[in-house]
Amino acid sequence: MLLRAALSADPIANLQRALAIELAVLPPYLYACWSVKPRAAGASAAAAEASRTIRSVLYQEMLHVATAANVLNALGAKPHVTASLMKYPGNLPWHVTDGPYAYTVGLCALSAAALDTFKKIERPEWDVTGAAGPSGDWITIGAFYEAIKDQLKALPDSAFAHGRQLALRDNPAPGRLYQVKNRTSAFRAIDTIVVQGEGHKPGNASPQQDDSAHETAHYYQFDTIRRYFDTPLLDPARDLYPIIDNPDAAVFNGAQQQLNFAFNQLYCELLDTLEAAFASPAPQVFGAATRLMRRLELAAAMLRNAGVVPGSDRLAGPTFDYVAAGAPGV
Amino acid sequence: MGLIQLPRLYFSGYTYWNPSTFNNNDCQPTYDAANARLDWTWLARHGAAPGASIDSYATQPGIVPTANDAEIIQENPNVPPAEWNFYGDNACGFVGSHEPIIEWPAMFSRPARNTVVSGFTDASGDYIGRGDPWIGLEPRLNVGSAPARLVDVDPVCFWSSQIFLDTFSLGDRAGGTGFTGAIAGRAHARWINLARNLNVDNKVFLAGFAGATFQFGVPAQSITFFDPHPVPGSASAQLRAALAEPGIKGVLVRFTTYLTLYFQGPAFANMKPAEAFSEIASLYSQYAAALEQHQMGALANPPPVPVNRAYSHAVGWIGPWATDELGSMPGGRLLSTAAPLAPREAGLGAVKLAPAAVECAVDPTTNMVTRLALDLGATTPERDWTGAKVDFGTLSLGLVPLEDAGAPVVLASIPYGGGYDQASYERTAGVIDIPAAQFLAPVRPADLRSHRFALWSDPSKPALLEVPLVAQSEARGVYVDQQHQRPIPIQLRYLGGKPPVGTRLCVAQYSPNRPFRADGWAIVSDKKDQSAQSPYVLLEGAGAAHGDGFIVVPVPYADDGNPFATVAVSVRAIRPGFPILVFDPLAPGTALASPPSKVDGVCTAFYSVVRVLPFHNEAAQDFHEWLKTGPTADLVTQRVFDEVFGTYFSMYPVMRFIRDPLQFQAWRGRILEATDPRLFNSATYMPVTRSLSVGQRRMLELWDSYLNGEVPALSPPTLLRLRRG
Repeated sequence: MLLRAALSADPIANLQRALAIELAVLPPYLYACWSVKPRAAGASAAAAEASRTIRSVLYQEMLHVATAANVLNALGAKPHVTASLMKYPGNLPWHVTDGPYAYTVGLCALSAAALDTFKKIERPEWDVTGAAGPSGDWITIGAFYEAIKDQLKALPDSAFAHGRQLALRDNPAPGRLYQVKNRTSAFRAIDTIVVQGEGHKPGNASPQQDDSAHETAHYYQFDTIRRYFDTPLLDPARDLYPIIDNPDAAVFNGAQQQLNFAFNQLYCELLDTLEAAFASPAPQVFGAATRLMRRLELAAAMLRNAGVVPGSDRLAGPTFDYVAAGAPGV
Repeated sequence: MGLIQLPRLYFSGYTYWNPSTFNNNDCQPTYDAANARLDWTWLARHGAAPGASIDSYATQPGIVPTANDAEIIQENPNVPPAEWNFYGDNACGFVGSHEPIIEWPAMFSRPARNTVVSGFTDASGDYIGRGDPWIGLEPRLNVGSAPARLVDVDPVCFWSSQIFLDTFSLGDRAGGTGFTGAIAGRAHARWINLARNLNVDNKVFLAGFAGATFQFGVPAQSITFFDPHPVPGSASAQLRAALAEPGIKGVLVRFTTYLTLYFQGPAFANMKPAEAFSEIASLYSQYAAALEQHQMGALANPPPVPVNRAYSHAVGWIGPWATDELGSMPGGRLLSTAAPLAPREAGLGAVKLAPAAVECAVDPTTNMVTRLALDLGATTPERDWTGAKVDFGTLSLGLVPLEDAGAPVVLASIPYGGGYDQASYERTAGVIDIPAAQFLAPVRPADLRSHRFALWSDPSKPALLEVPLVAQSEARGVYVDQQHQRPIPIQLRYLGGKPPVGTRLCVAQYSPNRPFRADGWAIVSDKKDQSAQSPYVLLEGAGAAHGDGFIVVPVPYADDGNPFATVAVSVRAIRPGFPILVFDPLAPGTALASPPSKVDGVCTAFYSVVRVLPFHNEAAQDFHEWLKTGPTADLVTQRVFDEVFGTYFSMYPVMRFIRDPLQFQAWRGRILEATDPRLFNSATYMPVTRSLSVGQRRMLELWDSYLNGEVPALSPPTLLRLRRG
């Protein structure tokens, strides 16, 4: 649940916060996705489907990041990718930290509990009782975006004329990567984010189905693979690598620390590359950024192959810490 | 014409070729090229199934024919189905200091010598071999963009090779000298000579014995010179001056490739072909195992890829491009193969020479021919793997009367040493300039209109004899979609000038008579009682007389001052496949006879190769109807992945950077962009093989719209239209 206090009077600050939230969900999703074994390693079809589902959501989250960046760029602001990265486990940026609606987001192998958390992140507005929590805080990220839209309504079309839009061809997912040039296209862009995460509101279509792009909302996608653990179509012993939850580099052995550091270097190079790309006169993310994404997965696999974490029976996973360029290694 | 123009810069070195060879297996029917899909019937018999990796099948040697494999022609059991270069990306270019970069130097290598300009013939006809800033510069294709691509129109047929390229550069901007410019059209393999190397020492293998000539033009308006203030008299200054002359439209680049080297590198030292194939299969296997380890995180770095390029010796020249000259076909007076010529070396049999071209410079004040330029770049064979030329003794270039009445006139003698031996050949790319001072008889333009050029050792049996009527087309590789028609302009000349009134052109349609071997073309027939292949295209032309498998069209005569006439025929798709259109010009008064039922004309015939692309319009329509039912984006992407991308994914490891349907979807913007038919003639176009049908492109467009949330509108057949180059 988001804090109403997250809402600044400045819509640009709010969009920046939205961008931070979109970025914050990527590491947990990636972590869970990488814990699923490939078919070649003996995993089941359900495991492959679970992996594919999470990756599908990840691609859409990347679209949301790109969309938020397009709106910010249209407003003449510079999208910040590295400014408000979160530490895991923790609360998502601008979310409540206690009470019945608080939840912690960690870096966890795929599990029923992890999927329950993912469902909370993607919770649709109509899936909860009560429109707002205590103190009038919002329940959903979608509500936060709606509030941003209300603020943008006050801006003239000319406020969105600063260009620097990611090319349509760089769209990583189903859904339209809007070129934001005016208020209308900004609204459409934001609606894409809300709809893909939560699905259409009841009344327009079934809550499970976004009939504009024929996609199942993230919430229901996660709900589907959550059921795999109940049936159980998905057998953790067969289908998942035993990756440690919420890794702490301090307890890693030397080799694991080095590999984790190498991973974090790559991760941060990717973030820096994205930030530079968004700020360029002709932004595009294909090329350097996509190559880094591929290398990131391989770096995580190398860390996983470095044996069990001392004091546990689990394999190591990356910590997704920010490492400034040129920082000394371990 | 271009050959006679000066200055003319010569370069020599190597070309590299990096085709992906799984689609041109001429031993096993792994690939249904006409329909651009894997032959799963065949593959299933050998343990490969759709949806699974076929790499293990493709890379293993020793495929044993099964009971239903009568069509297999496996001469060497060590050849894996993917043949010698599974991991190729079809890139090609000149070997130089920048390319190619060897991925696995411990196993593979490239020629150490770079391709460079070695000298030039200046505007006064003198050869300059040193001291000029352009000597030593490297010719390069597609600097700073996707590499030039070698693509066979018909994947299993060498006679349809072509190079898609976008730019040509000599030197680079950083060096401060040279030039760059955009290409006009593709380069096609011409004058393909399968007997180019006699292979006396038996060290040349695969297609190493073959030779071919490529040519392209660079329009003057696209050229940028890197040296703003060239040294007076330098090659740069002379070329610029030539470009400013009337009748010159740009720069022409012609090069001949020959003596192709395969399996280069430490892994293949001193190996015979069978051993080399076993070794490449082993390297494929090593790579696959290491890649799997890497993908599982057990290997830090990706393993080096076993890219097994081939390298051809190459000589070529760069000179002014005359306004009336085609870009991709050598002009001038064409001397074609006649009687075999006996080498001087005992034990060597008589050899057929490949075509040559002659052009003349005329002094308008004296009305005398002042210089002849003879291009023997494609003509004379090599003896062995060293590149030594076969010695036929002194050859004579001369004129023979058109009607064979009268004695031949010797114009010049061309000795072996200093004429066409290896050193001479490599120095001037086979071009021999003969100034009037060396003429053995004076030549007037009128002589050229009443005689044919010939090259002989024995005047009674010319080795090369001019073909008076020639029919050439830039459209050597023609792609036609379902329900589409494509024009093919054909240029005709008679003794280098306009053909006379009454000239006609026969265009006959042939098919390779065996699908996987290139040993002859058989004419098609639409008569059901014949064993011939049925037509692939409908031939049409203004005023055409139709025969079985051919048409004859009148050649229009226009008093337009051009030294040629142009005929436009067109082809309309009937069924997918790769017909060959052979052009046979008919002189006025020649009786109309049916074209020969078989042609072995790879080297000397005038022809174009057509690709009738796969028919997928119905599949596209089915896809469109299906979208109306509202399938999920994932299902739609999976279907497009399977029906459009699946074959490329399976066959070309270079495409595996798109690993699955999800990533395919993430690339959709780039895929739409790269498959844009407006890019068809560019090296950036995908698929490199040019096998994407109009129906498949339509599916991509529908998929993109659907994922953007757009409900597809009805798409009548008229929407399935592409403009291909």
